[in-house]
Amino acid sequence: MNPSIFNDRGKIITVLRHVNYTFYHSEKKIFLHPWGPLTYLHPEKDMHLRTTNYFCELDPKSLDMKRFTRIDMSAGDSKYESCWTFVGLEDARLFRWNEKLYICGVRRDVKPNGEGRMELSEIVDDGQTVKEVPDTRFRIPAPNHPDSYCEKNWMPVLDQPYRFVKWTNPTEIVSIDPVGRTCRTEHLVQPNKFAFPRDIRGGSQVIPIGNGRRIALTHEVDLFKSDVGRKDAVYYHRFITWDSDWNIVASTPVFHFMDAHVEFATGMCPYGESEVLITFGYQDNAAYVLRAPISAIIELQASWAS
Amino acid sequence: MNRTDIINALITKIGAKSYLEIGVDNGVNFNNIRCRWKTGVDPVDHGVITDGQIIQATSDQFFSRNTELFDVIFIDGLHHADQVERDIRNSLNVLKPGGFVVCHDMNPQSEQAQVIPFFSGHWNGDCWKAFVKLRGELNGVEMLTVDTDEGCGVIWQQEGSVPVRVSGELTYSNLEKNRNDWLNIMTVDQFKTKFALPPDDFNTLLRMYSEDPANAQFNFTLARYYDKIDQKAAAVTFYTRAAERATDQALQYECLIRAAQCFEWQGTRGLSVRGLLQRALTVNPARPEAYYYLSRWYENDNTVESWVNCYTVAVQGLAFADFTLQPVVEYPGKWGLLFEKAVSAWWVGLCEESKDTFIELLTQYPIDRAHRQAALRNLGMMNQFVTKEITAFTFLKHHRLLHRFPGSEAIDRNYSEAYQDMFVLTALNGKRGGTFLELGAGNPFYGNNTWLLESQFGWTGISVDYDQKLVDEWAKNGRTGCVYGNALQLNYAELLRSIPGEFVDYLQVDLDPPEVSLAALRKVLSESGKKFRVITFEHDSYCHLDNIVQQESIDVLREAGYVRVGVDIAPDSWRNYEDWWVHQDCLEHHDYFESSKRSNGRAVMAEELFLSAP
Repeated sequence: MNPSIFNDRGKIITVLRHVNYTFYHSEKKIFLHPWGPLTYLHPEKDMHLRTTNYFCELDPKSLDMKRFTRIDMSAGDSKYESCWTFVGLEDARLFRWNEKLYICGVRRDVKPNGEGRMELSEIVDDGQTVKEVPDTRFRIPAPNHPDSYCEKNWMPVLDQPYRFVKWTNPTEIVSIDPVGRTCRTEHLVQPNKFAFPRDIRGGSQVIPIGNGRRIALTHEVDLFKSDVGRKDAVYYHRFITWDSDWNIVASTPVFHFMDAHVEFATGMCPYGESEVLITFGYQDNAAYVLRAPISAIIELQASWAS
Repeated sequence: MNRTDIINALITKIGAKSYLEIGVDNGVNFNNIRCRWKTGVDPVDHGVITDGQIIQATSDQFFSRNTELFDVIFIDGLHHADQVERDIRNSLNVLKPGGFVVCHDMNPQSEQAQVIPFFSGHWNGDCWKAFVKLRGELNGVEMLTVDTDEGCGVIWQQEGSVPVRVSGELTYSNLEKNRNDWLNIMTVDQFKTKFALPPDDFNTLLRMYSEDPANAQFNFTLARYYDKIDQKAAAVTFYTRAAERATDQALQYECLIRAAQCFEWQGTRGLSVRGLLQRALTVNPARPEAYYYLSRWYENDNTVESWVNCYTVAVQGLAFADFTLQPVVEYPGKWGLLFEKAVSAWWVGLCEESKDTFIELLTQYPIDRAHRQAALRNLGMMNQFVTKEITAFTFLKHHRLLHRFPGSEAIDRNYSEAYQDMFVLTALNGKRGGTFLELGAGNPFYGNNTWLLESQFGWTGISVDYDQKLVDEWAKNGRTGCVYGNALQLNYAELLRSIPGEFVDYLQVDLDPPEVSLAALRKVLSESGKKFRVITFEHDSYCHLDNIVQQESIDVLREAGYVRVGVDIAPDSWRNYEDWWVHQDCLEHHDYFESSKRSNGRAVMAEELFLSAP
């Protein structure tokens, strides 16, 4: 589920999240699970929701999987004892900064209260195995709100090393110092003139598209209770474009990729001269790659603006 | 699309439930066939671990004994034309209406690849000759070859079809000239189109879904794809979506059960399995499948409360479900629920009901090998293999005796468990002063086959047992003639030397296990130098998974000149454990037992052969 894709100088690589739970969603509330319309069904003998990440290389033409291997995170995992029900690095994005390959996602099993923080790790692929580089794991502190409960879905800016879009509207850009282990807000742009009905949360990496503009796939969640008071949700996605000053200058309407109420895109990368590859998870149970022409995205944005 | 894909596609298309494979080899095809009941035949035990049954036999042996029909049959056995021809003809004889026969290696691409015998390298054998020959001979049959995976022949019955004209000798050079015509070759796409096979490549399924994601059938098709490649979580998602978008109740029902099966496959998600099955049951309480899977779920849960639930659901299903409905998911049929009822009845304390239900299963339903084994194991644990009370013939029943013989009116009672002593006397017309060899003497009186002969008809003979306590019991009770010995090591010529003449009147073979009986029978027949007028041979088919001993005993005794006059004789309604034989020179009274020959593998109660209804 929730794969992140990266075009690494022509080599198409992804991080694929494997979980031990099965997501069950009665979208139309006809065949609800006894625990509600939206449930995460972990094994009955294991209360933990465990994540393992796999590194996959795709054939650049067919996009078939050429190889996959579990990412060995033992270098960093061995330094702490997991102490929360959500175990592992979740929804990791894949990217390269200053020639180094990184994954960055949220981890919640470090503190007994389940506090979530983005964690950045350098990884190295020797062609057969993929390992976390020892001592590179950086648990990024939350800027301005050091006690915030959960930081997640920060979007790495591919052409600006060590910078993330932490929040989309208002757009907050944070920069990190992996050596000094600090994080600070670099830009905080006023709320956009566009009227977005919901909070816009992170999604893919942020990709430069020329003229100082950058684009990313974001997501929104309509979280609500079912008729019998159980958790339910619908996820939406949209493409957001920023100018060089991090003003949102374009957006598409919200959409679903494949009609499911819960989908989540965490990867996007240029593909050839006129296309992008987008990776998204489907109901937390499957993962897909979508090849899309950039022109179609621009058309969508134009339609929304009008 | 290879042979496995073709077979699976045909199975899916016709909703096949039974599959037969001739030539399993290492199981690479067999294990990838998705069908509820799978039977493989191979003369060599390759140690294949499978979810079906493998019968170790040649295809000719298998077909000579088989009584089952199959939906789809795959032939990949001995690649010689004469054998392939027999396999195809035999397969068509046991093919269900609407079924398919698929044959591998029908399209060799070089002369060397089809030379008989095989010597080395890439080889298809000359199977193609059988295929072409039969195309020119068979009426009411259509045949084509899919141009993939060495050529996959597909054969099906079609009313009105006539043989095609095959001109020229069946040589490879002629095959090259006439390949398309002779083999009726089709591309994979043509084949798919001809049979309207559902698409099986993922990208096509995904595209269909993407273009109409609210389409329940497209969701379902994608779910099936994920299910088959064991991506169960994704399958659950699409099954759920299909169920919620279906207007067809049967599709909803199927999706819920299949989603439950996905959770079951994953393991440790029992509550989800149970919940989905219960929900399926509410969608259509008249369908049987959910009852079966739900009761099985409770059985596997194995708690006190679950056994009650297992029993309850099984009984409800048996009472309310309509077993004539075409199944929407694979399940064993009514007997599956009966099995659950039988097992759970015991656990909830209804032992008699449990026993009766197991016996009902064994005697009246075509249960599969695994369940038969389980039923027998359970009955064995309930001590049901032992006759607790012999229903004896007594003088009070003489007026009902169908075949009276001199002296029958003077019999106070008999002693055999299943009228064997009465059979011997009937077949030999109440002979007095006869002789016997009794292998597996057992108790000198209770259930004994020779005590009546000895005590009231003046017979003498030799009894053998390998249990010293039983031999001592004979002596202690004043019966002589029982010797201790291993029936497989005795010198029968020596042992029977005291009995004059060519014939001994009666041979009883009742040793444990039945394989020992068979070996002893062979030894006696070949080494004793005697013939036996009457033989009772205990094969114990009822408590074994197959009837190999019985089958082999038939071969042995027929070869030796004996005629089977009693088939699957049993002391009760289900324990068919014995066949009765008479030497071909002594057949005056054999027709008395003609009715037993209609047993078809089911028990024939001995008493019913001898007595009229009260």
